[in-house]
Amino acid sequence: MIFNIDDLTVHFPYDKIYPEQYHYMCDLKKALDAQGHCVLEMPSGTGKTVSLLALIVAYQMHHRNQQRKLVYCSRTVPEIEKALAELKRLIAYRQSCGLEEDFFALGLTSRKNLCLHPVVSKERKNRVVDTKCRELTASWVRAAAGKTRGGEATEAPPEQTAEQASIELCGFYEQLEATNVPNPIPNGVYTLEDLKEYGKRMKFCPYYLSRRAISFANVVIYSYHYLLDPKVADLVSKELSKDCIVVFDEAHNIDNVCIESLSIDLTRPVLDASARSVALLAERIEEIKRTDAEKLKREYSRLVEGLRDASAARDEDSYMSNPVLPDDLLKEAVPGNIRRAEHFVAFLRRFIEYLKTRLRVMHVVAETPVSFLQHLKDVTYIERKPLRFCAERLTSLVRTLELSDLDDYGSLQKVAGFATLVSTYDKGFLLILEPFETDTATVPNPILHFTCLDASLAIRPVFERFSTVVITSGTLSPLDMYPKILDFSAVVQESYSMTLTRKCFLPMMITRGSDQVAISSKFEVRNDPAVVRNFGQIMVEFAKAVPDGIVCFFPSYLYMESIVSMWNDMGILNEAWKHKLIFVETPDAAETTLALDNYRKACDNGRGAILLSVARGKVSEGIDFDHNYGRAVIMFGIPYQYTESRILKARLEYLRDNHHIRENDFLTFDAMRHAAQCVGRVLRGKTDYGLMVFVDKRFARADKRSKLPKWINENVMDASTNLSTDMAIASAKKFLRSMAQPYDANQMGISLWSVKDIETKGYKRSTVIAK
Amino acid sequence: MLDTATSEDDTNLLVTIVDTNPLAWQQSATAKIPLSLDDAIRQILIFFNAHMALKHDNKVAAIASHIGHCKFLYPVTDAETHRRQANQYKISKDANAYPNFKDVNDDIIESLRSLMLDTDTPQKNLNDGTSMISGALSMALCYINRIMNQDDLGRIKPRILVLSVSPDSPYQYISIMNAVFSAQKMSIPIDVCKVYGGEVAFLQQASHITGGVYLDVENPQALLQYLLFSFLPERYARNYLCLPNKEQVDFRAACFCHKRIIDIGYVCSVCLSIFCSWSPVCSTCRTKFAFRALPPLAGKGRPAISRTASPAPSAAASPGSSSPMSTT
Amino acid sequence: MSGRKAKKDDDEYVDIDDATDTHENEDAQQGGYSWEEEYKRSWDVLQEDAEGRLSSVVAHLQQQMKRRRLLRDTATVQRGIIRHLFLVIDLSEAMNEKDLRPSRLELTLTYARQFVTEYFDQNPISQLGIIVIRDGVAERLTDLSGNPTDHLRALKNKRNQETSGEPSLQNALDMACASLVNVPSHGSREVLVVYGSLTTCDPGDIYDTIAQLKKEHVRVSFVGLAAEIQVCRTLCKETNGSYGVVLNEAHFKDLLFEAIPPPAVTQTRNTSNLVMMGFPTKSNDLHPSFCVCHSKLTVGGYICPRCSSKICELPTDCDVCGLTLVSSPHLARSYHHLFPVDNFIEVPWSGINSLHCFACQTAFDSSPPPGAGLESNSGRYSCPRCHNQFCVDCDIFVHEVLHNCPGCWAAGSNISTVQIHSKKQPAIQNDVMPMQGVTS
Repeated sequence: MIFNIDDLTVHFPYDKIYPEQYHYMCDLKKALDAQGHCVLEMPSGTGKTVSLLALIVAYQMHHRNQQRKLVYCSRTVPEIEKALAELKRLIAYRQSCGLEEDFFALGLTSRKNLCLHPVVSKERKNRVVDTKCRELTASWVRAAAGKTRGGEATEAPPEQTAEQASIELCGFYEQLEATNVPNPIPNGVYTLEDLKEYGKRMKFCPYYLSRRAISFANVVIYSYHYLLDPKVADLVSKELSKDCIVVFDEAHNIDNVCIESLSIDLTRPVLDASARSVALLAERIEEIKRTDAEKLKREYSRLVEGLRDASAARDEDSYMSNPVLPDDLLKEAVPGNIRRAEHFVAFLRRFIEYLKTRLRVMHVVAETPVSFLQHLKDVTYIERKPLRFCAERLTSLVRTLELSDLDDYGSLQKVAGFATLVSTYDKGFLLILEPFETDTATVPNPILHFTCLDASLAIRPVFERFSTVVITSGTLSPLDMYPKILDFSAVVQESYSMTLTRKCFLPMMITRGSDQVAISSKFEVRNDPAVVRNFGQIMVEFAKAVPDGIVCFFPSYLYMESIVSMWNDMGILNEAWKHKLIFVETPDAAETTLALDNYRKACDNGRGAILLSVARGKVSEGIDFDHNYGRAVIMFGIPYQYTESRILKARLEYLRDNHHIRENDFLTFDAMRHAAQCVGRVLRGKTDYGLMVFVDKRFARADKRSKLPKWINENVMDASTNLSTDMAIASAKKFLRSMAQPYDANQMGISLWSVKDIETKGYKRSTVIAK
Repeated sequence: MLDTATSEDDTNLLVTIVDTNPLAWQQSATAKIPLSLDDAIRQILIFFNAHMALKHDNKVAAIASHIGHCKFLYPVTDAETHRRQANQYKISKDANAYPNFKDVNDDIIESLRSLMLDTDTPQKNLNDGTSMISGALSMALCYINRIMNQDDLGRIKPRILVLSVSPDSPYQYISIMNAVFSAQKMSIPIDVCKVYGGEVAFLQQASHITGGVYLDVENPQALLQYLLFSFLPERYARNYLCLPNKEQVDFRAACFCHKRIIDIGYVCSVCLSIFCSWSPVCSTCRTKFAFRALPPLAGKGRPAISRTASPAPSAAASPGSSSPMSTT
Repeated sequence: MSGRKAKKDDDEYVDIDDATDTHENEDAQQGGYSWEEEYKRSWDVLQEDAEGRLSSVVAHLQQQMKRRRLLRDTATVQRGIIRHLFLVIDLSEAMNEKDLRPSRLELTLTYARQFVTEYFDQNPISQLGIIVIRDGVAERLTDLSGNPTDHLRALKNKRNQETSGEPSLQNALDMACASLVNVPSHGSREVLVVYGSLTTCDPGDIYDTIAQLKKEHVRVSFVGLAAEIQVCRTLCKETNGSYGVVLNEAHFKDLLFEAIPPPAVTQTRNTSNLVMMGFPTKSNDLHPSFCVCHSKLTVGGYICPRCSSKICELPTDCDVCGLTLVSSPHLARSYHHLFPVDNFIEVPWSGINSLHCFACQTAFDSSPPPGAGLESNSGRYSCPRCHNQFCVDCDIFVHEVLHNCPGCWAAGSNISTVQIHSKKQPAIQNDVMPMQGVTS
């Protein structure tokens, strides 16, 4: 359908539209016009992605002159695929409507997903693929094979010597190199598959192809890290111009992503490994000296200017500033005492030794970077300045030494990165040394956490640089929290409710068992047999009452394990087995995937299954449990973070001091958004239906409920906030019965709008503009 | 069989369907033993009074199944009564008459009069000169259904009495049968009193299926007697009486093709019409049948079929093919 | 529209239910007692009308409820009059649930008995078989046969009423399919499953079974007692059967009995055929003789025209030669499936033409209640053919029991009716004559 929002003509690839989608577009447009950021919460499965794309593409096409590129960041590869598919459909529709516009969009993902090389693509692990690829494509390797950028043929020319020929290269990459047109791929929308297809056909390496093509694309779809993680960011996202529209989809825990991208943990194995690789470096240097010392000389001299001309490039703002290296220090060159390779190696060795000594401390230490540096200086006379350059210096050294198998330098890079970070930032970070994994453990296994406490650090450049950043997800409530913790100001922040012709999901809060014992995952009572039994009973009862699939979420692995073992002793599992199979999520990804597959199978063939999983686990994030794969989600306990962890404490403190967010608020907010995320899994789209069961007496409290997303919250009836097990089961049965009744999809006008409806109802609506 | 549903203190609802087919009555009036309509009515009215006299709350209803349409004789709708009062329809006061009886009689007579007077009976129906028994039965059942819905105690025990003078009309077969089966479902006995004319197989079956009484009146003059003796007793009393009944009701069917009465036939699985021999196409609903031997029903061995079915296409035409089995 | 109505009810139902709970927050008695639900269901759907009177609304609702089941299509499709149906009853432990009172099991068996009788009443020349599932195995109570009594006997048998273990859908379906494959192709092949539990423990992949059923044109319908199960849903969709989940006891019965009128035959495969049947004569000889069905000494009975063995009641299959034995009324019983009565039309106040129901003489109220518009339903329902107007009770009675419109058969429009019949079934009316049995 085609309709107008204000002056903008939107092509929507479906002939019906949900009201919330329409409102969503309107608000989005506001934000775009205002060139400001926005936070939009929209229920899962109501076509968020398509409406977003539809509007933005329309917007792009409308304002051809100002080329605003859309950078769409999503979380997982499947989601990226989905988005691309939607986009493809949209563009196809636009063309069918007779708009001919050359449009170019593609997705970007890791080598592993794109590689076509017969050998390399067989590899399972990301890192291995990267290395192998590098071995085949690194400049010096190719140089050795007598190839230069833009060299013509893939097969070795006759005059090549034997040993040159013996060096194998990646045919796809060479082919790509061979074609020296700027954008070797015609316009259009390419899903990852299409990209590979095209690669196969043209013998191009899809990965580098996409890397190269980005700068020409109207829409780029890739994962968060390409923007947030500084290590990757400046590889990929350099050329993004200032007025790009950046969208973070499924952004409900973007803050954690930011923090992870800037946090580093050092353990003894890491240090040992890096020590080893330092030794390797040393040897390599020696032999290089012997072979051609020139190389090192050249590097040395390059380093003198080296960074300067780089900094020249950095001056114009169109260029993503790498958070790791603030501009100021880019002005100056690498300090003298680490310019020489061997000096640098020695320097590293010293630093690592120092860290090792730090790890020997047998009591918990928490200190700021400043004091850390101070102490470092006192002990090892290592200045702050050289530290800053560790990362850069290391990379350049590696380049010089033509080391291609980078995976055994991983830990060393880590250390270097650590050095750089610790010496760069003195605010918003904390070093925490934990000699023991747990308080009870006696065998020391020290970890040096270098944790980022401030999510805004990693994302600030994004906000500063791009005029419009859209943060959207199914669960963002309370909305004002995100602007706070990421500190930015949103032009529009809005949460949409789900318009339904039937109540297709039923949130319930079970606060006590049938025996009226209050149940809670509170620390004091969580292992009380009465509570555990009640949990078990709830599961069994629901297993009896709910068809096909049930998903249970626990706050943590530890807790889940303890509960399950207790259930086993109580014979609750045997009880449940009568009705459904039971699968458990484990930290191991492969196992979990297997479990999931079997779970799905059991749901399909009517056996029915229960999946026990963890609120912050893989299952709770990426995976949908639509229709029969999830008729009920049971949330056992509130998924608070492990409050004893010092990192968390530190972060809370920081939030309180710098962002004025009270600990409890943040904890609850965090817990509830995960809870919401979990239960949100059950409902995908309006034909779907399912139960959302919160099992904890604390859920009944207003402060918890208020933090649920609007669309869930407005379906919580007061009476269903304080149920006992039997009552819950009763209403669940009732609900399932009514849901099973034939469902006439005649939602016209109510939850489905035609163009007419838009014209009539479209304009009477109110949106909150954030001040 | 003992009708346990009934007890002594039931109220009985007697719905009488009077076949007022003037042609038939004309014949009956001129028959060897004549009985004219108004004689009959007179006797019937007495019978009604007797019925109502049996118990204080016995009820009666009468429906005329006339040529081409049928009509409630009693009770009349309020609208109708108003109309009659408007037409100075005078109720002749009679001190000796029990008012209830009188009302019924007057109403019925008046209705009958208006029925006979109205001449706009669709002439097209006179050709087959049959009365609308099926319609009357349907109305009777609806009426009974309503009455029984109304009393919660389930005290009312209805029954239907058909006073028939005209012969069967084939095209009513289905509707009559439907009515009969629903009567059976509601366990309403259908009594049939054949006042004049030959046997009526439909009504025979009706009374047999619903466990009612079928009576063929030899001497129409004594109609009242027949009525009183065999149709007056209520359903409860019938448990202890020995009433005349037609024990030999014949349910055998005749084939559509030669109207021959058969006892083994072929039934079209679509329209259920009966044939005496296998034919490639159903003459009734024009369904083409597959040319092949019938597979055995429910997996049981069925030699007869393979024998008859295989020659069927060739022998289909000749009725002789089925004679060996129809003579058992 | 009735469907939507029903759904709406449910929604409001929940709301009101909860409204009360909020009032007295001590809602421990909300423990889902079915009598309570029943109790609530009656009043929660009431809204006052213009004057805040309820009566009219109630009446209207009642009519809606009554008419709900009526509105089926009366298009004269060819129906498979001769049916072969397996009734599969779940006897797993889940059937002990008390959410349908007295218990799922009790209720199911009661309804099953009613179903059998009703089934044979409506489809006298059809066959039925019963399979029960318990302990993961399917057990055939009765094989396909046309004789209600032994089905009923099997159902009454106490041993067949105890539940245990989990059910296995696949086993049951396989068993049913196995015996349905070799029924004659002119008959329909159906399976009706009453399924209480929410799981099935199958030996193999049930989707193979589904494919098999689909291949054999077996139509599988489900009545779920608890909730929607995906595999059942797909199963029904694949085999174009119907899938219903019961809301309450009454609804259960409705769903179950929807399977009683014969289904429309799919025009894809021409399977109509001539079926050989016997029309036995009633023998009432004075001295008792043995019957083949129960081998007891009985007086009277029917004589199989082929093998001259004596059978006690009709319709049935002769136990000796297996001939299907019916009497002409039995055939006649099925006619109303062939000629359904058209749905009556709601008459708005503007369209009234009589003051009393044509059939049962009930007086209608002559003028619309204050507030009701001229187009609102006047409680009259008129036959589209004879245009007589009937009350809602007669409407239901006519469509569900009587199966012929009193108006059409009474008001002289019968010729037209006949013509309409003849339109449906050419030349049937002039040939029905012989059906009546002996012509005098």
